[in-house]
Parts: sequence; structure tokens; C-alpha cells
Amino acid sequence: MKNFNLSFILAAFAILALLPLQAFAQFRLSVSSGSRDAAVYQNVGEPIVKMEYKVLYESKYVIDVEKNTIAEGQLLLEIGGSTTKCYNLNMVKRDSISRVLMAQNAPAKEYEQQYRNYRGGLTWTVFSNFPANQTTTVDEFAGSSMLVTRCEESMEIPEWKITAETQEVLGYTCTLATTSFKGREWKAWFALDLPMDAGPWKLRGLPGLILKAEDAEQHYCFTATGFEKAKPDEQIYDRISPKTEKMDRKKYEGLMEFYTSDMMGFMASVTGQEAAVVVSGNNGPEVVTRKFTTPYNPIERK
Amino acid sequence: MRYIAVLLLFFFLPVQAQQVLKGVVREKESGQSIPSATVTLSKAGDQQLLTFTRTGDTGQFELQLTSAQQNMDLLLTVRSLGRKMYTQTLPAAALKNPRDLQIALESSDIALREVTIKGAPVRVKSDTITYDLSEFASEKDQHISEVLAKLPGVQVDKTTGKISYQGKSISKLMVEGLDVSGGQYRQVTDNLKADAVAKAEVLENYQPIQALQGKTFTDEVAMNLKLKDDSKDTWMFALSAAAGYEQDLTYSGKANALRFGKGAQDLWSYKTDHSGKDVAGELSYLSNMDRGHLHAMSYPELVPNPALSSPIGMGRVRDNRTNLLSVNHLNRVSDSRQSRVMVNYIHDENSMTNGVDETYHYGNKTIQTQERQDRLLVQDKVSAEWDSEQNSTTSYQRNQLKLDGAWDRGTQQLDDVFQRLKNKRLELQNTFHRLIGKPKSIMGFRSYIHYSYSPSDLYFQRPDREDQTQQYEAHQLFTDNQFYSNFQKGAFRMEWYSGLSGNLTFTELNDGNRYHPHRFQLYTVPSVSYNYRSLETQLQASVNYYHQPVSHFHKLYIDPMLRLKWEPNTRWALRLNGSQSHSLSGLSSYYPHLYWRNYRTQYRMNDVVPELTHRSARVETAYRRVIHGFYTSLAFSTFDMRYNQTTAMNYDQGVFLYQALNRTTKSSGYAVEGRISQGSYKWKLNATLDMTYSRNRGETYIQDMKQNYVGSNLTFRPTLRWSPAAYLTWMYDGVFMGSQTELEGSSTLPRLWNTQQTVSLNLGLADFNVNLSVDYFRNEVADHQFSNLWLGDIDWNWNVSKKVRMTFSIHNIFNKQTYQETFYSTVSTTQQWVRLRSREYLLQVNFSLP
Repeated sequence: MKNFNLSFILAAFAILALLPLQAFAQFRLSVSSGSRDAAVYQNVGEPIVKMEYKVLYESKYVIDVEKNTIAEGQLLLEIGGSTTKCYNLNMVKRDSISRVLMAQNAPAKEYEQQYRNYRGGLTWTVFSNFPANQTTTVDEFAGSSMLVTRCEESMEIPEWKITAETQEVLGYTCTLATTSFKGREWKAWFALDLPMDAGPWKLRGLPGLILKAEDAEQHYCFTATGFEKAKPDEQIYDRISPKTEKMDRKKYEGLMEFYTSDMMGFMASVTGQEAAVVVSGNNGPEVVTRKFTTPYNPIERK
Repeated sequence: MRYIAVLLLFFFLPVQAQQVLKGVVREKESGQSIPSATVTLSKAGDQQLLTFTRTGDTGQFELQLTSAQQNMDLLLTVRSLGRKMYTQTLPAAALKNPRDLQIALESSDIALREVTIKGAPVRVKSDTITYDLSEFASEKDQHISEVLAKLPGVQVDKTTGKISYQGKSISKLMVEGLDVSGGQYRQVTDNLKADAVAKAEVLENYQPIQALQGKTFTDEVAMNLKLKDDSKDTWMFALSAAAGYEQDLTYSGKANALRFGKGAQDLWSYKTDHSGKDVAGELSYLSNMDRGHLHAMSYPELVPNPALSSPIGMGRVRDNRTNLLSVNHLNRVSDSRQSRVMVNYIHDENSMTNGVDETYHYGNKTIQTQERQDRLLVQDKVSAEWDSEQNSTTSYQRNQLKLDGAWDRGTQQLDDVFQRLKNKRLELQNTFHRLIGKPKSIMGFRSYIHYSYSPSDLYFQRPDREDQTQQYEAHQLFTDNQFYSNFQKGAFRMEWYSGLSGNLTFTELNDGNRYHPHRFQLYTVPSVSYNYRSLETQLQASVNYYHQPVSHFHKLYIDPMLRLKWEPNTRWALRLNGSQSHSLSGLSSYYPHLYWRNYRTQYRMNDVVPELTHRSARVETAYRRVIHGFYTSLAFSTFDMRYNQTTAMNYDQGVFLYQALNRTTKSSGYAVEGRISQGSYKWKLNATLDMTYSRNRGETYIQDMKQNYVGSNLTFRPTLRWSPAAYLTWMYDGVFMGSQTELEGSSTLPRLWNTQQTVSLNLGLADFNVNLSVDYFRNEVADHQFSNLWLGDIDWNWNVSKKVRMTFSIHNIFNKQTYQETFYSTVSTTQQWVRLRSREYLLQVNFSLP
């Protein structure tokens, strides 16, 4: 033990421990996660146009027609001139809230409450008139870290029949118009006092903003709950991320169908990883080979 | 009729010709044209909207009027945001020959009636992926592990039960936000009923310490399970019993009670098994996140009880009698405080029969040994843990106290040799973690202290010697105390930890030889990472000073490490890393006294601390076309290792003697790994091929002679998965492995090919599910001599009701008795066989409540 000088080592340790702390203390701490706003999620890519208005819709969507399971959510429509962008706000919000609750070790009931409030299953983002005269559908049905599909196609404007019926939505008198569009019969209520050419999803082409829309089967219902001018610095972003894969509608629908009919097979094909799932069950390793399907009730029926 | 209609149409067309109403809309004040203004026409005195249009870029518009519209008085309205509405009545008379309209809009101060959007913008980061399990679970799923394995991006390891997300192991598994299992989460995943869980959340960039949230970078992944309302805070019970036959009666049973509430959680379970299942695996720690960079230290063992192992997996081999009792209780005292208690006991008896023939090659000579043995390993183990945590937004403190007591008895019966080894172990350890958070810096302190007492008692009889008894005893006190800190500045992240660790070790053999190799270590490890867009880099230097008084050893090492990851787009990825490390080997490689390790192996090292210098580098590139289901990757890795001394082996009169030799030895090698995978969405088919080639060069000392060797291995692993219909899935897995060893200066051992192929079929109809799998092994046991083996298993599952499920299995249908294979390792050839469990039938019934 003679050559082991404890006090020397302790002193050296103390110096070593304090030096880096002194050096690092000059850096200002930057908050890197947990407090960025929804923009972080949607403001991916490059800005394309200045945002003028924002419309928030409450959305209801029948996930599973047989079981009549409904997902409720909130769609945000961003309007900048004749370009619009529409996406499910809840995909973002739900993630963040559960994260915050988790961090606070919140009681389970609170989660449940929050989930009820923020359930929503729509995974697409639709750009209308971006690029010019095109409609772009961005979808993350398999998760944003896996695959973001991007499908650009020429913009189609529904051929509307305007009726005499009116309804008040959000304090605005709205006129009912009907159309047959992308495989569904749609009803839309638009406000003449808001003379912009915009609406949820791909619905537009009326003399006023569409504040309410639903299809005849009531599988998809959107009702505006908020409308406001954008802040001067707000922009609409193109949402192109490194995970974006461009494809045509045929491929996009093929992928969606494959994903919903055989998710495991889809994941195996996408990741090139596990070709099969093996579960370590009580009876030793068991191969889970059964496929499982997710309900498929797309808004667009070709 | 049709022709007449067409004719009539032509006839009337000129009469019905539409009038066009044209105009231009401008700003009143400036006269500038207004694009995108809405122009509508309605019947005067009525709100009924007849037609509409929008103005073009120059403010112009055109409206087509039908003949009906031409015959009524109309109201024209023009609207544009930020301007007053304009209306004009157009009498029917004026519509016969309309003039172009010039419309001027006044600007308006009236603000739009906005309805504030509540709740947006949201303060978020999308780090949570939530899976609604109702979309993934089926009635066939019994436990939650089966459902989790089906979640996209989630993998559940087949043997260990370890869960990972996108290839990264989860650091915590929680239920309703609380971690009751303390890392032994198979207790949750193997016992919690699948249908009690509503959602699974994957939390990326998970930071469990609230005071650090938003302040530091983390790439940990955690999982949280959320229960259905009716399963929360209620006791759930499950019972299962199985009986079967495999030479004698086999059985298996379990009973468990679980409760997951917001204030308290409980996990109680009892399991008993005599059917070959791996029950003990449930107690293994699959995650332990809170250790940070603390060094681990195990007790100083010289004579380990060799674990039972088999080349074909223990499930087909072991004959067991296992009893397990485990209790976990978590109490949440307040929002920021919780404590957890865990106690478990296991009695695990395992036996197997195997044979090993080894040939050691040196020069043109060989040493050959043969062992055929019945082995039995009995373990009794008690563990207790107390874990208390205080976690708030301003401070964090956690203390984990753990006590383990284990008693292992291993016996080996060979033809004329008997060996018995009793190892006992008492371990007491405490881990403390406190975070000192200041407004502008983060600093943490971690401390670990570990005491162990580990006596061992070896006894053997062999015909050519007197019976031998050897007792060994060790006490060890180890501690590691470390400060850490980390900071982020823009794209840079700096991390640093420094500490002092050391152990006091006291050992004694029954021949009176004592040895006390205390060791101290002082270390500091700074690292800097730079993450910008698709590029991630990390550079780390590790500075270590070691001091071992008894060996007069002290040394300073500085080791660099570089890591780089670049993923420019969805298609390409490039990863590169290189590092150097120095490490000191453990007690058994410098223990200076002669001792028996088993009935035929003796060790005598010298008091020189063996230093290992390890350098390695790896480069990997991957290309994928997600939408075409195509994936390929190629990796190259290389390593170089140097020991400052070597272990020489000498064999004489049935005893291997391993001795330290003051000579540097080195080994080096490289490996190339490739993967290609193609999925077809159309055919519901996925095919993957993995290839690995490795070549290692090294040197060893046998019978006072240096022997250089080069070993090479080539492996192909094809897999295929095909689901032609919803109720049917076929799978194929193959492993084709060729190996060869060249002994420099003498011979090349023959190339051996071992292959294993598995075909399995799963058929699911209504409440029934059948799983059939057949394995075929073709192993080259010697040059051009093959051993062929077919193994088959079948399982029928029947969901009798929501609460009752029955499974009938037949394993080893063809009743094969032995598995045989030959493999090369450095300069030895090992031919081994194991006795398999015979054909067995098992009927299992599961009940669950509520």
C-alpha cells in the first residue's frame, strides 16, 4: 500500500472533476426537446407560401365500418392564397400530451381523458394547388420514422350543385352544396361571407370557405370550430423530409392496401428485417405467423 | 327515338343559346384589379344562389346565364376579403343584351369575425408512437408479449423476451406509467393478459428524470402499456396447468395475481415446471437504465460452475424441476415519490447428457480427449430489492439496495470420474444516484458499492489420482463513484464523466495461499457529438489510470473512439466507427497460485496484470427502396487484439495445465456481412438472404510450441415468408455454415458444412390454430461424413371461451435421440453430441379471472 497515495489520488480526482465543469459552465443550456410547438411536426421542409388564415375542424371518421369504431380528431386547414394544406392536428397533439403526462407521472385517468379528447386516426396531409394546379397527398400511415409517402396528381375540383338550404356554422350562414367526388357523395356548407376557395381535405371550388362537410354515409364529417388570421410570420411548409418517398397514386394505394391487409408482411418488406415474428411465450419460442389486418375505410374510393 | 331527340336538340340549340355576363372587378381607391373575388348571382328578392365564379388575375369574370336565368331579375354580389360587399340588381330586360360590368369595391375596416382556435398551437414533440392494440390483438393472443411482437417496428427476442423498437432495446417497460418489475419485465409481458391492455406507447428520446427533461439529449426508448378501464386497479388472476408424458410424467403450472393501479401495483407469481420450459429466464434483468456509466463488478470467481448449454438450444435438451416464487410491489407515495420492493426465490434443477471429443492440433501432433457425461446443476437463489425514487422537475434521487444469496451445486458423472462443485454466493449492493440541477448546468453523482462473499468447494474422484478437495474463499468490496455532466449547444453536445473506483479483494485457498489483488482506477471520459441534419458524429476520449499495488502495476491509458452516421435520404445510410480500448483481465488470468478449475484442468498464472489492447473499425452502408420492398446492406469490420502475455497449455497424464507466459500474443481478423431482402406486396412474400464471411488469424502455445492458425467461416441464411391467404402462412429458414481451419506450418483441417433448415406452417381457422414445424439438420461431423436429423413439432390451440384456452402439443414427433455436430475453435476440433428430450405430449389448460 506504500506506493498508493490516497490523498494524491483524491486531489487529482477533485481537480479532474471540477475542470470540465468550469469549462462547460459557460455554455448556455439550450432546450432541445419537449417544448417545441406543433410547428416542429408540420413545419418540416421549406416554406412555400405565406399563411393567411387557419381553420380548425373537428373531424369524425369511421375507422371500422363493421364495428362502427369512430376516431375523433381535429383537422387544421392552412390557407395561403389559392394554396391550402390540411392535416390532422391530433396526430401531433396526442403524442405530445401523453409525453407530458408521462413525464409528470400523471394518474392513469388523466391519460384516458386526454385520449378521449384527442383520438384521431387520419394520417394524411393534403396540399391543394401545390405544386401549381396539383394536389399533393403526404401520408405517414406506417409511422413517420418508417415511410412518408408523397403523391402528386393534377388538381380536381368537384362539380358542385348549390342548394337553397342554409345552416349556421361558427356564426356564419352557410349554404349547402352537394357533389359526387372521389367515390363518395359529399355535402358541404360554405360561408359566402368568407369568400376564399378552400375547404377540408380536397374539397374546394365553392364561392366561400367550406365550414362543414360530410359524406352521405357519414363516414367522414368535418365541422369548423375555429377560424383565425395567421400571424404575420407564419408560413406553409412543404413537409418534405428525408423519409419522403414520391410515388403515384396507384403505388400509394397499393401500399396502403398492403399495410392494412398484412401489416407484418409490409413491415418485413419495408425494413428488410425480421421476416417473421417470434414470441417467447410460456411454451418456449412460438412463431407468430398469423397476419393481422387493420380496418381500411379510405376517404378516397378511386 | 334517339335520333329524333338528337335532331330536336339541334333544332332548339340556337334558341336556348346562353348569354354570357362579363365584367371586371377593381379596387375603388386605386383602380387596381382584384383577383379571386367571388361573384355570385342569385334571384332578386330570394337568397337562392344560382351560379358563381371567381375573378381571374386581372379581375375579370364571366358568368354563363341559362335561358331561365335570363328571364328573371337577378342580384349580382361581389365579395372579396377586406373589402365591402358589392351588390347590383340586374333586371331581366338588361340581361337580354348585357353590357360588360365595371365593378369597384371599397376597402373595409371591418375585421373578420374570427373564432379563436383553441388548443393550437400545441407545445409538442412527436416522440410518442401509440399503438391501439385492438387493431393488433386477436383472441388467440394470450399474453401481452404476443401482441407486442406484432406491432410494426417492435421486435420481441425469441429466447430472452427482450423488446426492442427499430433495433434499439427498450430501457424501461411501464404499465400505466409505472415500472413495477424494475427491469425484469418478462414478469409483466409473460403474465399480463393480452386483452387487458388497450394501448402500447413507444416513447422515443425517453428521459425518465423529470429535472432533465428538455435539457439533455437522450436516445433511449421506453414502452408504456395502458390498460383498459375495467382492468385498472383491479386484481387479475390467471391459472394454468399442464400435464404430459415424456418417458415419465411431465407437468407445468402457474398461478399469478396482478394489479396495476395508479397508487399501487403488484405482481405476484408462482411457477412450477417439469416440462423443459425456461422458467428462470423470467427473472433476468432485461433493462437497467439507471446505471449510467458506472462500472460493473462481479464477484471474484476462480472455479465457475459451468452453465448447462447445448448447440441446439436448452429447450430440446434440459430435464428440469423448477419452482419460482416472485413478489413485486410498487407504492406511489406522492406525485414525485415511489418505492418498490421485490423478493423472489427460485429452485432450479437441470440435467442433461452429452459427450465431447476434443482434438488439439499442434505441429503435426494432436492431443485427444473424450468426455461422456451426465450433468446436473441445482441452483437455489433468493433475491430481494428495495428501490426508492424521488423524481420532480427540480431534483432527482434514487437508491437501489439489492441482496442476493445463491447456492449452486453442480455434479458431473463421467465413466470413471465424478466431480462435485458447490458454489455459494452472498452479494449486497447499493446504487445511489443524485442529480444536482442548477439553472444553467446539469451535474449528477452516482455511487455504487458492492460487497460479495463467494466460497467454492470442489471435490473430484478420478482413478489415476487421489480424491481431490479444494476450497476457495473470496471477499470483495468494490465501489465506483462518479460525477457526470452534459450540455448541449446548438448542434453540439458535450458529455463528460469522471470517477474513482476500486476494489479490495481477499482470496484464500485451502492450502493456505492467500492473495489480495486490490485495484484502483481513476478515469475521466469527455465526449463531443455533432448532429446536423442527416449527419451524426461523436468523438470520445477515455482516460484511465489503473493501480494494482500487489502487482506493482500502474498505468495510464488514453483511448479514442469515433462514430459517424450519415443518412442523407430515405435510400442511403452510411455508418462508420472506429475505436481503441485497453482493458485489464480479471482475477483468473493473473491469480498466481496453482489451483484446479475442474477434474482435468489446472491453472497457474503469474502476478503480471494482463493488458488487452483492442482496436476495431467497422463501416456499413445500406440502401433501401421502401416502396419496392427492397433492402440491401454491406458491412466490413476488422479488429486487432494484443495481449501483453499469453496463456500456454500443456497436457500431461490426463491433466491440462494452463500457465502464463511473458510473451505478447496477437490476433486479428476481418468480416464481411451482407444482406439482401426483397418483399413483394403483390405476392405477400418476403425473401431475405444474409451472408457473412469472416477470417481470423491468431497464435497459441501448446506443449511449449507456438502454433499459428487461421480460421475462416462462411454463412448463408436464407429466409422466406409467404402468406397466400389470411389463414395461412408458410415460412422457411435456413442456415448453411462452412468452416475451415488452417494450421500454419502443418495441415489444413477439412472444410465442414453444417446446415439447418426449418419449414413451418401456420393455419388459423376460427378458434383453432395449428402450428407445424419441421427442422432438418445435416451436419458434417467429419470429412464427408454427415449426420442427418429430422425434428418435428406440432401445436394445436383452441380458445374454448374468453377465459379458457387449451393447447395440445407434440414435440419431437419423430422421437429422435441425439443431436451431433462438429466445429472448429482456434486450434481445436470439437465433436459433440447431446441427448434430446424424447417425443413428448403435453396438454395445457389456461384459466383467467376476471
